Amino acid sequence: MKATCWMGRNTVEVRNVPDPGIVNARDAVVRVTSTAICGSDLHLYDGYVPTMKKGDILGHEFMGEVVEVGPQVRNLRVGDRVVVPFPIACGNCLSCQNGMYSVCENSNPNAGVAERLMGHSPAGIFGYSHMLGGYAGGQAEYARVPFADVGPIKVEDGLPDEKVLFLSDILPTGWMGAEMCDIKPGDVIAIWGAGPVGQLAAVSARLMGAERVICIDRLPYRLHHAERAGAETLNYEEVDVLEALQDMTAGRGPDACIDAVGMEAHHGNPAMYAYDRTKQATRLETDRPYALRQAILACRNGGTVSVIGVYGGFVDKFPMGAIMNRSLTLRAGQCHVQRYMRPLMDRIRHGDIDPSFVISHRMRLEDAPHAYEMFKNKENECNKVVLTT
Amino acid sequence: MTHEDQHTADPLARVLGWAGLGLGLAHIVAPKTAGRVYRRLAPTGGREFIQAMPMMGGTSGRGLRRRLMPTGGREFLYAIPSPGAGGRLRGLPMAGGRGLPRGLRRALAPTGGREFLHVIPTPGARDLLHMTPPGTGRGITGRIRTMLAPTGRREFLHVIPYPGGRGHAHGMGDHHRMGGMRRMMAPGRGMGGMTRLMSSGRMRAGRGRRGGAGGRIGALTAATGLAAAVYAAARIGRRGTITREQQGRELGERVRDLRAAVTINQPREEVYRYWRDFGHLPRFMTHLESVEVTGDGRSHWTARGPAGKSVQWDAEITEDRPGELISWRSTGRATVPNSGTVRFADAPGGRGTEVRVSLRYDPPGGKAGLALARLLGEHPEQQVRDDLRRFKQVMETGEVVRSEGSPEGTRALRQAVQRPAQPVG
Repeated sequence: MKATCWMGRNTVEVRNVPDPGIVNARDAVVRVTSTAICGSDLHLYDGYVPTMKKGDILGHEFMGEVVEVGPQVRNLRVGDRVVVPFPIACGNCLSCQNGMYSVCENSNPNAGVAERLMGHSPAGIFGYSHMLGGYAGGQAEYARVPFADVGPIKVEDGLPDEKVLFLSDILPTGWMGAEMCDIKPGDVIAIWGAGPVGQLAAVSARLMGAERVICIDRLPYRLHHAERAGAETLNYEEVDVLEALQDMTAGRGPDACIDAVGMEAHHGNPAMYAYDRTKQATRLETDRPYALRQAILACRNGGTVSVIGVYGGFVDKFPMGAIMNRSLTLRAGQCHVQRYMRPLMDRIRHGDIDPSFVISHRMRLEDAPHAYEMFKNKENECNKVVLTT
Repeated sequence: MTHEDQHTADPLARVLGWAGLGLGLAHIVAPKTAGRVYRRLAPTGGREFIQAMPMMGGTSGRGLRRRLMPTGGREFLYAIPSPGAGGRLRGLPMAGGRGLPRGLRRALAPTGGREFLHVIPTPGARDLLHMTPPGTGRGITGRIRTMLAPTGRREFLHVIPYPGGRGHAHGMGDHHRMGGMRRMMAPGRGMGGMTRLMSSGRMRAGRGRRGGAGGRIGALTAATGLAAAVYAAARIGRRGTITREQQGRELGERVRDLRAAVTINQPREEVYRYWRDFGHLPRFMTHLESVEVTGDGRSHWTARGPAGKSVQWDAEITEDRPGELISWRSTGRATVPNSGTVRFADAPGGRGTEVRVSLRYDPPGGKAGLALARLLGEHPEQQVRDDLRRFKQVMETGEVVRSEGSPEGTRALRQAVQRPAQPVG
C-alpha cells in the first residue's frame, strides 16, 4: 500500500510499504477514505518530537471502511464506516474506565521510554513517535486499528467524511480545551492560536455559553476563520496582546485562556523568537512556550489556563510564580477523544456544529509531501488539508 | 526499586562533592583563575528576576534592569520584548560594555555547560540512554546515565557554582544593591539555609577587597564541597547497609534481589488464580520458553539464557496463600538458583490489585556476567518491570499489546532499537 512516511526532518515521502494485517485479537484493519494533516504532525515534520524513526507512517486523523476484524472485535463488521480516535486506548484499565483514554495504561508498548521523559507513560498514539508506541499512522491506504472494539465510532447515517473526519482529533480536542475552562455565564475566553483546533475551541466555547471569545494569531486568514466561528480577534504582530486583553476585559483579564499553539510557538519579537528558537534548535530546550507564558500572564486571578497545544518535553522560563501567587488553575491533556465522539457526533447530526468549515485544501494522498510543505509554510492560506485515497 | 536509585546517586554525588571541594580550594589558592571559571559557570541569582520584567510589559524597569544586569546579557534578550528595546540592544552596556555578538553567544551558551544538562530529554542523547534501561547505576553506561539524569541530581549541580559565582561576576556595588533580592532568592536555590548564610557572608565581603571576598567565598565553597563529599560518603554508607540487608544467606553473597510492582484493574482472586497456574507465566515473562506444571506444587521451567542457550530447572512452591501470596524456589542443581515471591493485595478505593514481585537469583558469571548482561541491554531489573507491564496487559486487555515499532510487545531491547512504524509485512 501507499503510505506517508517520515523520512527525517522536513521530509515526508509517499512510499510503498507492506499492507497491515491483524496483529492483536482486538484489531481491525481500515481502508482509509479520508485523512487529515494535523498541526501536531508539523512538530514531527519539523523534527521536534523525540524518538521518530525513518520510515514511520504518519497520521492520526483518519476514517474509513473496515476491511478486516480480529476475533475479539464484536461491535464492528467488514464494510462499516468508522472514524478512528487518535489515542489508542484499551478500555479496560482504570484510566480508560475513568474516561481518561489518552492516558491508557496498556496501549503503549514503549512505555519505558515515555516514563524516562515524563515520569509515567501516556497512551499510544497513531503515527506519533516511538515514545508514544511506535504505531503506524493513518495517512496511508490502510491502517491497523488496535482496540477496535473501544475506539472507532460507526458513521451510520450517511454523513459525509468531511463532516465527521474531525471527530478523530481536532473537534474533540477543541471541545475539551473549552470544557477544561469550566465556562460560566459571562466568561471571556481567550484562545492562543487560531488554527483549526483554536477555531473549533472557539466554536465550542460559544456553544458552552462563553460571553466573548478572543482568538490570538498573526495570520489574517486564520483570524478570519476565527471570526466566522464567532470570535473576536487579536493580531499579536499588531497589538500588545496583554494590554489589549486588559483593555477588552476592563482590567480583569480573560476568565480562562486556552493554549492551542504548543511547542513551536512564534513570537512577535525577532530577538525573543531567535532566543528560544536557537535554544530549541541546539536542544537546550525542547519546546518554545511563548503562547503558554503569555496565556498564564494574561489570565485573570483565579482563572484557568487550559493547554491543548502539544508540548514534547521541557520549557524554560515558566512563570510558575504567576500560577501560584494568582491562584491560577493549569489544566492540560491530550484529548480523551473516545469520551467525546458520541456526543459530538450527535451535535454534528443535529447541525449544532459543522467542523468542515476549517478545510482549506482537499488533496490526494500522493500529494502529502507538498501538503506538508504548504501547511508548514502557511502557503495558499493553508488552514487544514484533507487527503483522500 | 528505590535502593537502586540510591545506587545511581552515589558516583555523581561523590564526583560533585570532591569537585566542589576542589573548586573551593582553588578559590583560596588562585582566586583570579577561579573567578574566571566561576564567571563561566555562574548561574546568577537575581537574573531570573529580570526575566520577569519584560513580561510585566513596559520599559519603565530599564534603569533598574541595567543595574541588575548580572552577566553577559543572556537575560537581556528577555528584556527586549518591551517595544523598541531591540533597537537599543547594541548600544546598551552588557555587563562591562561587551557587544552583541559576545552577549548573544553567551546568551545561547551561558553557563559553562549547565544548560547542557538540558540536553538529556532530547532525542539523540535520549536514545543513547535507552540502550540501558533505568534503575541501574553501575556499569559504564549506567554512570553516563547518572551524569545525565535530568532531575534531582542536576539541581545539585547548581549548589556548587552558587556560593562563589556571583561574587566575581558582578561589580562590587551590585552586591549591596542586590543583597535583598539575592537573599530573597537564595533559599529557593536548593541548599536553603546554607546558601543564605553564604549570601550574607559574601555581601559583607563584597564591600571589601575582591581577594578577601574570594578567600571567604573559597572557604565557603570548600565547605560546601566538603558537605557534598560527606553527603556522598553517607549515601555510600547507607547503600552498604541496604545491600547487606538484601543479601540472603542461602544463595551466597552474589545473589541478586529484584523487586517490581504493578496495579492491575482486576479482582485480587482472579489475578492470583492466573499467576498460580505457572503455565501462564511464559505469556508475559518473555525470557521463559515454557513452564510445565508437573503436579504437587512442582514445575519444570525452560528459559532462554544468554546467547540463545536454553536453561532448564525444576521448581517447587514453598508457600501458597490463596489470593495473597505465592512463593517458589528452584530445586536440585539449577544453573541459576532462584526463588520468587508474588504478593497480591487490594489496591485502595477499588483500584484493583497491587501485585508485588520479588525475585532472587544467583546470576551466572556473578557480577561480571551481570555487568555484561547489562551492557547488552539485558537488565534483570528492567526485565521484571517489563514482565509486570505485560502481565497487566494480559490481565486487563487479554493479551500482550503490540505495535509496529515493537511487534513483540514491551521489551527493553526493542525499545532501544525500534522497527520503523510500518506494518511488518
